[in-house]
Amino acid sequence: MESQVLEKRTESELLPTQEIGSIAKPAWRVKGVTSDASLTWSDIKEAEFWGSKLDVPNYTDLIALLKERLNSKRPPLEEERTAIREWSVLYALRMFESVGLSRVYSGEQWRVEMYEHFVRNVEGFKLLGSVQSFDYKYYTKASVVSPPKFRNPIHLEEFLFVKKHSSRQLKVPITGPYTIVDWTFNEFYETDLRKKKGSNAGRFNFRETYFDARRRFILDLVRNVFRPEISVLTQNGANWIQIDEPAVTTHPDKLEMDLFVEAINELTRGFENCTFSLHNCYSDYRLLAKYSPDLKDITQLALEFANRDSVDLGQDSNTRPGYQELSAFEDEGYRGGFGLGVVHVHDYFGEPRGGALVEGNDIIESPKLIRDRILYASKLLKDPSRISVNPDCGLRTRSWEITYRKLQALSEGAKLARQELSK
Amino acid sequence: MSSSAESALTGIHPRSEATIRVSRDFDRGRTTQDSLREAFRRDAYDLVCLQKEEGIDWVSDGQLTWQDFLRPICETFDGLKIGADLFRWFDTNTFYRRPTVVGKVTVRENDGNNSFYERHTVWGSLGDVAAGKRKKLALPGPLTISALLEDKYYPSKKDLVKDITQALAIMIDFLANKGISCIQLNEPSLVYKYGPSEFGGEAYQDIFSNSISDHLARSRAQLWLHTYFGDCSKVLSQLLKLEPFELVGIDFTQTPLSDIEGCDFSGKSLGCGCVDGRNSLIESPDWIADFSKQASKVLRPQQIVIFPSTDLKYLPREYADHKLRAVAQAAKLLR
Repeated sequence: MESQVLEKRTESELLPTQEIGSIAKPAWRVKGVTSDASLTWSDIKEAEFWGSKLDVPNYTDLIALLKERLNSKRPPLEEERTAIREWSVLYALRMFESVGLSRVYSGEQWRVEMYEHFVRNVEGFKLLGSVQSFDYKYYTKASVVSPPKFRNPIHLEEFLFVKKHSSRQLKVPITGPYTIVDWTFNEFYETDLRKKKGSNAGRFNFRETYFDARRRFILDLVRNVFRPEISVLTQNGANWIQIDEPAVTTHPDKLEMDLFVEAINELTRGFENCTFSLHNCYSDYRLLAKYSPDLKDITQLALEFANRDSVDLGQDSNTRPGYQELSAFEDEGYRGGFGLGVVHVHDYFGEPRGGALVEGNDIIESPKLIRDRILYASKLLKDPSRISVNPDCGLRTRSWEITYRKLQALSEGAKLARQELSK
Repeated sequence: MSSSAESALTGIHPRSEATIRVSRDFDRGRTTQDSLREAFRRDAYDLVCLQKEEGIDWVSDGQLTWQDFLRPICETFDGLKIGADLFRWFDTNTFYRRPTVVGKVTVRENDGNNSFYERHTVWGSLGDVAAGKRKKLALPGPLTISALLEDKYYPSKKDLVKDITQALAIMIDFLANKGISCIQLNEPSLVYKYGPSEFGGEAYQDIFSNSISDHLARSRAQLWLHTYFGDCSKVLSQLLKLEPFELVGIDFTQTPLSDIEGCDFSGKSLGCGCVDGRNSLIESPDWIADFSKQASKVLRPQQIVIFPSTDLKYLPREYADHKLRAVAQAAKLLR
């Protein structure tokens, strides 16, 4: 696959490490920007603890601001909200930098949530309410009620802030068009298409308008919102964009997968100075593998593997079942890089085994387990330079303590793997 | 059943925004199990009241506490263990924890059924709010349970399906004694075209049919069978032959009515799943009634029960409640 080149790297190091996206928002970040939740001393102590531990420059200014908020009965001013949000980004950045990640970003502290942040900032969407994802996890779902229009840059302010405060390679995560469409009720396009086809079209055949309406929605979204957004970001210096597409393979249909490929290729077309990676998790990788060579400008697939793997130490196919689907991508002809998921991000209910600690519902993978996962993947791909190392997905459901320990282990595990590979 | 059109819900109803807030707080350690339990109880109470006000004929408690459609079963049956891994629930943006079969599947000893009733229905805490109403509960069917779990015990799927059906039969009788008049078995795996191919094959349809006939023939509850997330036209004739089911449901968002013309519904009722459980556009009662009339004309069922194509949990609560009202009003229009 000639069009797919290895990542345009700025790092010389083998096995660069990266985060995927969001981490949990600290209580002081959540409560500090809302008027209906009161900050507590314990929240401030948490800010103090992490400020000191991560050596966040001037973090005592945040503590002073939080103390003022604690004693105030008025709602936060807009400038206070902004300041608290910015502090939260700085804390996340410092966490990533202090554990030694090569590619960093804001931990999405700037954003409400990956879907809601996008739809709130684009014309044409109406938020309808919450829908369960799993267990007690939910997301706010919107409907498209008019053709989507680019209003203002969605991620620029966040990007410029992060750029000002970090000298590492920045990787900007954006929620991809297929996911936005799949998670949105398609009221406008379905109604519009039915009208255009005549008042009775689709009346007793629900499937008649479904796909056409979906295709019109996604292509309008890419052309009218995503491309202007990428233009703005790249003009301001963004050179790596990670397109988050958790919804891909939800509908394992050729029509749907072709639509996904068409949308991504249209989105990335012509942005020569930007690296594009694609993140997907909890999906059918055999299916994704089949279409991966068609993603013309995607040079890294950041995927979830730890969730599928055992936690025993070892570098063979028996101990590393979770990584075997890498072969499917190879077999289908994908020759780009991989962001290798090496730590689990959700609650863990399995037994503790040799390669990990289990504390409550958290699993803390050991550096040796992470090393083994990387080395096994290197062996399968026969080329460690195609591997970057990351968590399966954003760590937002974990506490900061667990996130920190997992990222430390990830960084340490990558180091152990580098040592092995350099022998 | 009486001769007029009736109405029901299909499965899990979405939690209210208030319950979602409490459950989020619980998840983050900010509130207690008791607060969460009370939030679920209040939510279920409101939902039952809404169904009564609107005239829904078969009342559900909404199954609001169910984290996913398999989990309560796993917690009730011996031989099944809840997995750590998250798996996508068909082609939706919701996930379930995949169970693993680690031993022979039976209803858990030491009062497993009672534990199911206490933990996974809220009828016991709702007083007499549903007095005089027929209560309905949806359970995953044996083929769907078998298709979605990881089997590390049974040498053949046939034995697994049989044991699950037997355990379900025992549970269903227990629930009938507790006053649940109708159990609806949901079997999306029978029709889901992207599922494991073995389950779509005729051999498994036979295993399913035999298990159902062997174990559910003498059930004390009224049994309904519903298929969704796929086109049922290829399997419908076989499903209509299954004696234990008084009603067979169809997801009309996936199965064109024209494709099942001529299917013999004599002696069976039709579960008319024409209200799209995955679309926020609210169907008008007139449209639903028109569609149901048309379906009735084409399929000639003994009776028609209008319900959403699938669980309404894929919609925010407000929209699900609008759909519930539309279903109830459409059934009234047909009376």
